Amino acid sequence: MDDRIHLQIVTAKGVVYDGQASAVNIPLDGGSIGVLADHAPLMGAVSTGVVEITHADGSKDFTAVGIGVVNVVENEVKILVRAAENAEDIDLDRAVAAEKRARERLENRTPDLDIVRAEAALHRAISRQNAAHMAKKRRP
Amino acid sequence: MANMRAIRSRIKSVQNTQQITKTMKMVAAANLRRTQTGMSAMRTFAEQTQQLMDALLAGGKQYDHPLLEAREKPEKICYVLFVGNRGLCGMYNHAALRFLQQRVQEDGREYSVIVCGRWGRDVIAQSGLNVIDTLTEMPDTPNMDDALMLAERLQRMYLSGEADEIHLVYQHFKSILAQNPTDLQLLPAAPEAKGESPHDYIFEPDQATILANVLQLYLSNTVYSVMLEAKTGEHAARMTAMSTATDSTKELIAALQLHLNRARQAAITTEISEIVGGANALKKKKS
Repeated sequence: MDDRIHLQIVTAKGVVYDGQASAVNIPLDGGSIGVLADHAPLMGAVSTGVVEITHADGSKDFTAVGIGVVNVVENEVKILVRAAENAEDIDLDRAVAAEKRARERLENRTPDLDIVRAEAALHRAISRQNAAHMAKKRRP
Repeated sequence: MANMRAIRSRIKSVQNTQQITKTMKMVAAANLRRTQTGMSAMRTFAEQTQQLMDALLAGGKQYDHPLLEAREKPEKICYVLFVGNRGLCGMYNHAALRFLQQRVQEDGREYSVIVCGRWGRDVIAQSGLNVIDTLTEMPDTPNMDDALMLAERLQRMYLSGEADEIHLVYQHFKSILAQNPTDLQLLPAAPEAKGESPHDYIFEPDQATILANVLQLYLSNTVYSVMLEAKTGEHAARMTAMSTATDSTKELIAALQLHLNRARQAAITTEISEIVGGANALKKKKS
């Protein structure tokens, strides 16, 4: 397999990931999908999770993403998301702390708690941890 | 002699002011560069979001989404006013405030105002606007988290019916020398398809869900880009204002220096004429 897919992960802050890949696994609203070269044009609703990027030599990269959209056209994969972080840049301690905070907030509910937001924060923290763990495991 | 001392101390104080304005100008220039880089990064993102919108709305498709639907009789308008964190930037803040006052008066409907920025708590209070909240925690280089917080809050206000329309009022950044007060309607959103999509897409899971996500992106992006633009304008305005201030201190120092030289020359002349006069008097006595 060649690295025939050109993948871009873009946020409002700038391009987080820009490179070639042979396969990309993207978390969508209804479950994750894998995209290989010559995929039909696809548009999907990306949910909070981890994007898994596979290169031709078998090496993998991981990027934690927030909600957004993906656009696949002629081997150009563009993922537009609110927030994205490459596994190498993730501060694991901070992610763990954020998860703990979010869980505490959900457990000791106060009436003015915004549950949707607290849950979203929890999901984000978990997916960032996942990305970091997955990246660690795959590396020799 | 007293005159000379007064001029000297005046020069000293003007020099101190000059140092401050010079520093502020340089800080503003550094901030300006940072926000401008942010704006260019934002542009790529906005373009790509637009492409997606085009594909989604191609063929004049209509969708039902609470954020898209205009209320039948919009009665409660919420304005979000973006001002700077401090003054010393020319007419930047005042112009935005005056623009909003004018709009509110012309419109005549029920309204509320959220102020973003620390500037002018007293001035805004005196303006008689119905301010419901002031967000003071706006950094000089905006980041996405602040934009997300604000976007979500505005969205909640809209969905709960607290406001029927949400407008962002800010200084549109035309160039470093020109900013225009602008009113941008954030909600209800009215995305426009600018072109046709050349591809036959598979939608996963379906168009409505994707549209919901795109709308979320659109919201947070618009708020973020407005924040960036307002801040860029503020830094640019401050930079020009401080640059003018530095120039006029230079002129003032030159004028004062001239005065000082003249006073000194006058003092010397008086002294010499006194000595000469004294010497002449002595000579006359001898002869």
